[in-house]
Amino acid sequence: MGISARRTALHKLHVVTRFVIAFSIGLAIVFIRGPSDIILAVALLLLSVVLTCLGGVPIRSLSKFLVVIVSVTIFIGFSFIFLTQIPGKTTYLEYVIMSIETAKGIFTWKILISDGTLTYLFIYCSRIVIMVFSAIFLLGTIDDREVIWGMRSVGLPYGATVVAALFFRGISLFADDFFTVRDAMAVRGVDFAKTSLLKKLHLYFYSLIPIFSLMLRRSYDISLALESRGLSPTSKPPMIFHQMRFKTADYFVTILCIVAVLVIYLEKSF
Amino acid sequence: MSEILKVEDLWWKYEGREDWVLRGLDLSVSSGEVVGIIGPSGAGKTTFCLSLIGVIPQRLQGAFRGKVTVDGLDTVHNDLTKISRKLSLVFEDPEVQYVMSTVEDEILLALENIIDSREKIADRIEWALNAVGLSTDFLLRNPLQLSGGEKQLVAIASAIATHPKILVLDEPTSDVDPVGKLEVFDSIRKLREELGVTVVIVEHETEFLSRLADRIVAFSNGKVAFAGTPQEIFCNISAIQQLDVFPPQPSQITCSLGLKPSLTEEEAENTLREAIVKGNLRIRKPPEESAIVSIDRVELVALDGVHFSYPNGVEALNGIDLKIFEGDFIALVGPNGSGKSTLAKILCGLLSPKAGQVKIEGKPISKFHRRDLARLVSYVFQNPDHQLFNQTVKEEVAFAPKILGISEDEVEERTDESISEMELNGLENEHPLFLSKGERRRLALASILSLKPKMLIIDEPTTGQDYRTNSKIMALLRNLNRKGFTILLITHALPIVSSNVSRLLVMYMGKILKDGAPRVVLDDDEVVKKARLIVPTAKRIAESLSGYGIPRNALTADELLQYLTL
Repeated sequence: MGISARRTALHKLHVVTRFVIAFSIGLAIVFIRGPSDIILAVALLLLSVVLTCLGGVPIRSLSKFLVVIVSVTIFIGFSFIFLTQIPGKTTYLEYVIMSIETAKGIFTWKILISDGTLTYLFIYCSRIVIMVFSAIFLLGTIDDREVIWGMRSVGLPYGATVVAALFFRGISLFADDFFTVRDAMAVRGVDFAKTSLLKKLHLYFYSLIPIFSLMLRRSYDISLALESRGLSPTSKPPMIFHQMRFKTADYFVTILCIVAVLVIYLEKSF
Repeated sequence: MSEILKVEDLWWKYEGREDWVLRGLDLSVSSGEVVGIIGPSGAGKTTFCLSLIGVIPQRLQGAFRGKVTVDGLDTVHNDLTKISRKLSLVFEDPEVQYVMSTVEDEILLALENIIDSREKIADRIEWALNAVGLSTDFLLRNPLQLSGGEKQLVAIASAIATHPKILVLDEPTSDVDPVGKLEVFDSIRKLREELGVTVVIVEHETEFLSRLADRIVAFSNGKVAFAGTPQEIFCNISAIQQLDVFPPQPSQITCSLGLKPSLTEEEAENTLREAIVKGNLRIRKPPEESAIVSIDRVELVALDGVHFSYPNGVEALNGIDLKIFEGDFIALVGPNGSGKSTLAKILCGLLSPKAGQVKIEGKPISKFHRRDLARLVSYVFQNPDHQLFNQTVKEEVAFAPKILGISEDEVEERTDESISEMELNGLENEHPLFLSKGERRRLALASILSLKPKMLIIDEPTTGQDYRTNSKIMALLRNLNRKGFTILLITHALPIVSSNVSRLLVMYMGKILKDGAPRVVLDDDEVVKKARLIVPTAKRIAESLSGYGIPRNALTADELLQYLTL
């Protein structure tokens, strides 16, 4: 996603711990359901923002997610204002757009903005913002190298880690090929910006032919290269050069995350 | 010297193919020897390399006969892991070998399987990098973001880190700038001297090979056509040219004159000097240069102060001022990462400059509709496979004119014309992906040609191909240029293109370092050094003998031979 964070103390945590933190926040979001959960929403929102900052994610990289956050907020806002009437203690705006008499009574479509509307809007938007920030935290603070090390340190087979490395490599190759094929179409007169959606889909389908043929050829070449280096899915190295060990801080943070999620669960369920 | 590699009556046929790729190949290599393999495309060179490591027949499906022994290990019955500890293979494309995201992890990949001490592994990684002339600063760099030469050196470092007895390199310098090629060959030479490693190297660059190899083995049609010392092989010009191999220029010059065969530039200079002094060789007067007729050149493209930087902050173009005229035949050269491809993409509107202006036929490029721009400037990508997505050759060539909304009759006419121009007649109904690499490359060119653009930009048209294919491509391009197409070639193959093009554009760190006729540009030592170019050997020989009246401007062996007669 192109987020690269500067190294901070948080990067010293085991990659699994960083996964646990992001996963725990994601799990806790489930318990934000209504106005009574506003304290939890604020707490998680603050926590995810603080973690993102402590994780060394540059503020400017957040700008690319602003469009998503703002558009989702607008969509939810319009839904609460135009399609749902949420009453509250204070009403800021109430305006009847349409009133129709039907056999079952009078149907009224109105705009209602109350403190209840704003609370719900905040709750729902905060869930999305928390998810976005925790994802940014996770993607910004781990790289593919650490994922591989993490996989090895939790005892996954060597072959699985090589496959994972190949997967990460495949993503970048696929993206490179896709953009090159698109460029190759553009120089032959294809204007993706001014092409109809149907035609665009048709052209993207065309582009899959070279992409898949290149992928097949590359995967064949890469597998040959791996085999010729004596590596196979069943290889068992006698030692691991980069070892990631769970330290006291990792145990502490992991236990803290588990306890926090349990407390929230118990608090909200009973 | 003891025998370390033995190939006996080796036959191999890929599953589903009718023809045998290897047909009774016999070869024996002694410990510490450097063997250079030459031969045309399709001679079985890469297949031979795969059979040395045991991938053939252990991992690939097909019919196998014969025996390959690597330092006493039979490649049929021994595990690949065991063989790979004795023999390492470096592929033509270093990128296919990379799995990991840092240089350190890449070298580490094989080491973790054979060394059980962290300290020893760290030492070995450092040693491997130093052995190929790279420092430990490279450890945390992404291999895919290195220059072409560095990528190949990292691939060699990964291969030698396990201390193999045999190193097999399959065209290790095909996509590397000229000085990068020298660096790769120097590293191989050092490895041989320091470790006594046995080297088998497949290579089209015979000049480099002649300085490194103890023995040259020429492959043809899946078997050894002939073998001998570099002197014996490269001085048999007619024989190697029959195998589509480009002979080293020193031997081509001396052998063509019937003088003592010389392999190196120095030897050739001495031989020629001696022959001139003794009166055995006469200097022909250079033909009178026809008076230059001044004609009004029509400006096609103009760049004014063009800057471009990528989102990661890398400044690829740093103030480009350039004019391209109709009918120009230009070679764009420069080291890997100097901005050549970025400039080409700016010229055909795939990228927009961050500052400065690009005008085509006097109109800002941003004002063009994509279709109109495609009629003026188009781009042939380095890898033809990125460009081919239709079901038949004919549909592929017709695709672009159809997009432009041209009438059916004209589409048909243009398609036939382009197919014929690129000599693809008879293949109209073939699926593009089933064509040979050379045919796919010509098809990619035909698919752009049918647009009839005024300017063609062609990225690395000669990379990794044999002499005959390259000669054919250059002849086709010369012909197109004569017909009025403006051509810009992005290339590292200076010896192949320099005598064909009228202008040489040299790029360095996002700027045009020099622009002029090839002979003028290559006379500028500073430019040559900065841009990591290598002046063609024929030109260097001509310069060193200019005191005897030989014109300094010969760029190829053929041009130099025009000035010499017995």
